[in-house]
Amino acid sequence: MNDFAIKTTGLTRYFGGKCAVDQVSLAVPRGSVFALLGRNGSGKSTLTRMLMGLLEPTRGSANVLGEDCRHLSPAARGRIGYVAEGHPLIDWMRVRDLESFQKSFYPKWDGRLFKSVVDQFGLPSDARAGRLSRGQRAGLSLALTLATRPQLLVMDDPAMGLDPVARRTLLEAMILVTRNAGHTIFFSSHVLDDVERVADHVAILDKSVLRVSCPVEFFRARIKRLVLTFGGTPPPLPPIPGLLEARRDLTQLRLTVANPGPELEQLVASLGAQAVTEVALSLEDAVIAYLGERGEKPSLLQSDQLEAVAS
Amino acid sequence: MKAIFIKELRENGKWAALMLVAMSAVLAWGLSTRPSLVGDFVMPLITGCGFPVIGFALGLLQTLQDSSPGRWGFLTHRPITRAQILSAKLLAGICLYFLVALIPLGVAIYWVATPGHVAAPFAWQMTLPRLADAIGGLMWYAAGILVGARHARWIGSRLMPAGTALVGSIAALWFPLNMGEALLIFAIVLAIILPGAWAAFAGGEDFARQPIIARWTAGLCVLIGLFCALGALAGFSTSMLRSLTGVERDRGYNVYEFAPDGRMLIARESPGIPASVTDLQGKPLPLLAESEPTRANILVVSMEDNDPQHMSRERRRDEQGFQREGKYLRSIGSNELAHWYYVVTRNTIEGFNAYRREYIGSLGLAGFVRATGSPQPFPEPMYVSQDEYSNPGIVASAKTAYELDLSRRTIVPVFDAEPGDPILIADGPPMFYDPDKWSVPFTVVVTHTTVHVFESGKERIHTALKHVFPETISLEICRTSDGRYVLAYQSNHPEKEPAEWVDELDPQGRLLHETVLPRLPVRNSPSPIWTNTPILFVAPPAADLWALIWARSQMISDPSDLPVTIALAAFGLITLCATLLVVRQMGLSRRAQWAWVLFNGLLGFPGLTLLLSLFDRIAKIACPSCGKRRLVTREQCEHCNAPFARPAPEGIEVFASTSAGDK
Repeated sequence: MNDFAIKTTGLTRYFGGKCAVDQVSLAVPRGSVFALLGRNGSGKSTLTRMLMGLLEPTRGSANVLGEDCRHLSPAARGRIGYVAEGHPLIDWMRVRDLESFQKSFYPKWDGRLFKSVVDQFGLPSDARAGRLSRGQRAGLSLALTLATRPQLLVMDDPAMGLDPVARRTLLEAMILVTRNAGHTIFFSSHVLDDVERVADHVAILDKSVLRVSCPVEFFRARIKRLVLTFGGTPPPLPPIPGLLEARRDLTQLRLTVANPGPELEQLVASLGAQAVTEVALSLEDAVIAYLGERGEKPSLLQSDQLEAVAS
Repeated sequence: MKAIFIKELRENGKWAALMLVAMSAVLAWGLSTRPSLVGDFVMPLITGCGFPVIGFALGLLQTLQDSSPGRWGFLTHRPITRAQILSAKLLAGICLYFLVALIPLGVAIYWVATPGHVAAPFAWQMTLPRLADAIGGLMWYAAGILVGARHARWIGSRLMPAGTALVGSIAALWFPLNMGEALLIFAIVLAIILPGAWAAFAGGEDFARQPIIARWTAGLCVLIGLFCALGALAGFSTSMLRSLTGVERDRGYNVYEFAPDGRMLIARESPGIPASVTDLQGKPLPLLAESEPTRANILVVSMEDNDPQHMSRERRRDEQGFQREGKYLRSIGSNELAHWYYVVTRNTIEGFNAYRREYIGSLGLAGFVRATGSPQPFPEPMYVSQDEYSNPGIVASAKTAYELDLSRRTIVPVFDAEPGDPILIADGPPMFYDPDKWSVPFTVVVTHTTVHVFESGKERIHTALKHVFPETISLEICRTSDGRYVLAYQSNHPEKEPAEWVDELDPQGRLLHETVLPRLPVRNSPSPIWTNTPILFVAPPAADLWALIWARSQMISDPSDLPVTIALAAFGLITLCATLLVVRQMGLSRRAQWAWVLFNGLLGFPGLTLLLSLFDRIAKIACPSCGKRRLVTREQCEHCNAPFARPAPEGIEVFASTSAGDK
């Protein structure tokens, strides 16, 4: 049996002359909770829609549960739960209509699970989908998908626009899926706090290009923040390989780097800092540093303001 | 499947109900205006336009409502194939369509068939044209599905498949002689549209990757639509060009006309110029006063055989086509009390009370039989003339002609044909006779060899028929005020001499004069070729070439044809060059590229627009290996076979072997 729920090779998509996804090759291990991160417009939704066979790749290939994403069989679709961006539903249908609609396609429909998720989100069964709040739509969408007992749950930004309570409920519902061994979740998100809570693997799309694909801890271990303290104004920075972000204040340089190695240590030593401190990074800080503008950034505060803050 | 079917019914039910109400209202208005199922205008217009609109709207609604990316994903991501989803949609859509179409139509048919509602006969066959219109709406429904589901560059080309349904509707209106032929047309059109619709819905967005049959049929649908749109545009441009440049004023036609006294005159008519009349020597004559009927006491008799077995298909189509009223019944007269019809399907003449709208009886071999008895059929099919210049005072079969007097409700046999010389036609009296002045009503019976003229039921003239179809197209018979008859045989060969043969007979039927009239100098002179330029530009080059060769073969010399030919050749060349450029942008295989170039060499501009409508332009980027621009869809450069370079690493990449596809 294939060890990967999803495996793509050089997956590429153009819209006209614009490249939305550029030769993405990634593998999602079975049983993992895989988070796909990236800024708006980085190609997350395009990648997800290609994986679901809703968009033709311009080039490259992708296998989902062992089948080519261009020709997913009905049986494979039956094993994949998909929650699209914005939780699209048939708006005129009531909650109970949507349940019976969805149930008719899935012989292994789990009515109890559906009810428990729906109850968690406080959804009345006679409410029309079009009149639900964004959080309720997300809950209904998730309930409709989870009750199919999918082996692979694919969600495109499921937490978009949800309040913290709804997000927490959504996370709990997601965790339900992972109780079954071998079940996989692949989701894209901007909410890094949630990603940190549930994801064990992370991938980052940066301007259509896949730059990161690894376990979360591996990623955190590869992103370091160093605080260099100087006696006076920090010297100009030489080119530093893997530099994600550099911030400067009166006597300090804060460097965030990827893949630190001996070369970095030599470069740091050559700057003549009085002290070098390594600061632990949360996943959120690491991803923000990763997705932000590269290189040294000007401080938002002027130097006299910085002196005032320092005094 | 069932869930999709029910979802479609519920989702589109409200729209269907709205359409049902609208169609019912329009049908009710139509029946109040012209209470007939097979009338010449109102009912065919309502069902011929209403059902297509309903079908197209339903097809569009069913596809467009699910076309947003999110909704499309929700609908299609389930353990059934897209073909199954489409099947359920089609089944629901067709059910809704037939509910919307057949409920109001059924009520309308029931109302018309109920005695006391319409002062006209009813036969179940009269419902067939309207049922055909309802079934024909399925072509539009399928076109709606294709238009809604097909990915297209812009809304104009997206709408093109509707042109195929339009052509199907027009063909079903004009060509079929029976329901079977109409159904065959619908089946052919559906066989063209449905595979394209299926592929557009189920096959994905990339046209080039759809099955070949779907690509061919979708391409054909779009091509037919393009021809319709470009043809309409070119036709409009041509008429505007002719109107603005005034070339129409130079056109005109000269025709021979009867004077009320039986003399032959020459009338000249041209757009925008007052008509002029001269005698045969060219001497100008005063025009008739507008109040004086110009066709008084003249019968125009078509010289074609009216036996349906000997009729040409074109004539049967024109007179007894499936959608024509004449296939089912023909009005043979009305007065303030009654309407009389020859009912083709029963071979009877039936009368209806004009006020109570009830059947009053039939006219047949036994005379008038009241409504208590069943209508009496004639032993043979009857021919009833329905031209605009005569009153129905005589009807005939191949063997016998009968004079009718509808006010007295009598029918009298006036002529029996000799064996081997069947009746071609019986006609008369003329529409515009005026008994208070000088004209006398007369009827005419023409057999294959003789012409018989009757006045008040008695034969006045009996003369040999000199020319028959196809040598002549019509026989015009004029009765003068002094009782002479002039017979003019109009030639059916516009390019040959003579134009007409004219025989003048005295009141006893003896030949007084025999005149052969020469062809008139100008008859419908063709427009200059340059005025057809818009049509020539959008027509396939092969058709243009044929048109120019034909014009030369017809000795239509035109000083503008050389510049027009050069312009067309240049335009054809530009089209070919544009095709060459465009096919290279479409990422097609070399073989497909040459096939398109060859195809567009035959089709010209419509072929180029078809190419642009079907395929998307593929982006090109510079190949880092050879520097030439390469298509982004190909794994390897088409110039140097180099694969695509990976995105340049920035030194920040973090990959673990467990989650990197090929790193």
